[in-house]
Amino acid sequence: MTPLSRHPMTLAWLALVAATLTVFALAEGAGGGRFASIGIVLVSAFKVRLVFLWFMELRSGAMPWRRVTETWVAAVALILIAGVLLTGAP
Amino acid sequence: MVAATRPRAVGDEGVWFFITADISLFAVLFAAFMHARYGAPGLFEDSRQALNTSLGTLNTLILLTSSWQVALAVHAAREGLRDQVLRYLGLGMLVGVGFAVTKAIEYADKIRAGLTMVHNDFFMFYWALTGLHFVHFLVGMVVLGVCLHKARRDPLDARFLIWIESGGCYWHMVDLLWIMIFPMIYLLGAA
Repeated sequence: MTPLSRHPMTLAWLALVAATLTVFALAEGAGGGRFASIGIVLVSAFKVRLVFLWFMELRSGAMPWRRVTETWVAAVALILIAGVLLTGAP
Repeated sequence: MVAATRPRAVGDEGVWFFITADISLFAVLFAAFMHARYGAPGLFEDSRQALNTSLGTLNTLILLTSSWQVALAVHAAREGLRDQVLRYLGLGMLVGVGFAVTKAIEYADKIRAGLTMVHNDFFMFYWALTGLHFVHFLVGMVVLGVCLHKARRDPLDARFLIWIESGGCYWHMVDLLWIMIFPMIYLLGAA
């Protein structure tokens, strides 16, 4: 088995942890401002995509599930960004 | 001529139908939350300030780490490494228990402060969304427990692989739903 430190799942986990800390820093640093909120949604959508592609192994292109999950990520991100733009702080 | 085989998703196809239906339901709930927030941004922003973002971030890290361990268990199962499957699944469940502990602390804190489901619209969504997610988490823990039991007793064959891949995908779904629920409720400024 691939050594744990070089295992693709470990690299995906490290990227997800780094993205989580980025989201926390954006939230703490900007206190819920509009641009920070949009950044938080985009990084969170990126994290979800990482989970689908790596942990759930859809990176091989398994259809139709790859298409379904990509559409879900885009739709949820759009819903949240639209909500932020309509009601978020300047 | 041999037809090219299309890549297939890991686990049972039925689990993917379930995951699609489940995440679609959550997408509708997310839209309902954002719509309600649009109608009362001040109330949603004031209520959001009562939530503990550090605890929410800790919960995200807990679920990500648990998911990582389960993903490693799936890979170990493909190589027939029973000891590693048992270790990674066990660690995945152990780390997962941390989510229940922090959620219990958070829920007790909210109840003590009187921030129950009937307090206002924000907390109705807070309890409904995080509660529904928590039920998914509990089901996931049971599924992982079944996989752990089978890993001890059964041969690590194709049948077992379907079990652990399907259970793993369900567990990762619990993880990714929290990845969107947490920022939407706890972090996005509304006013």
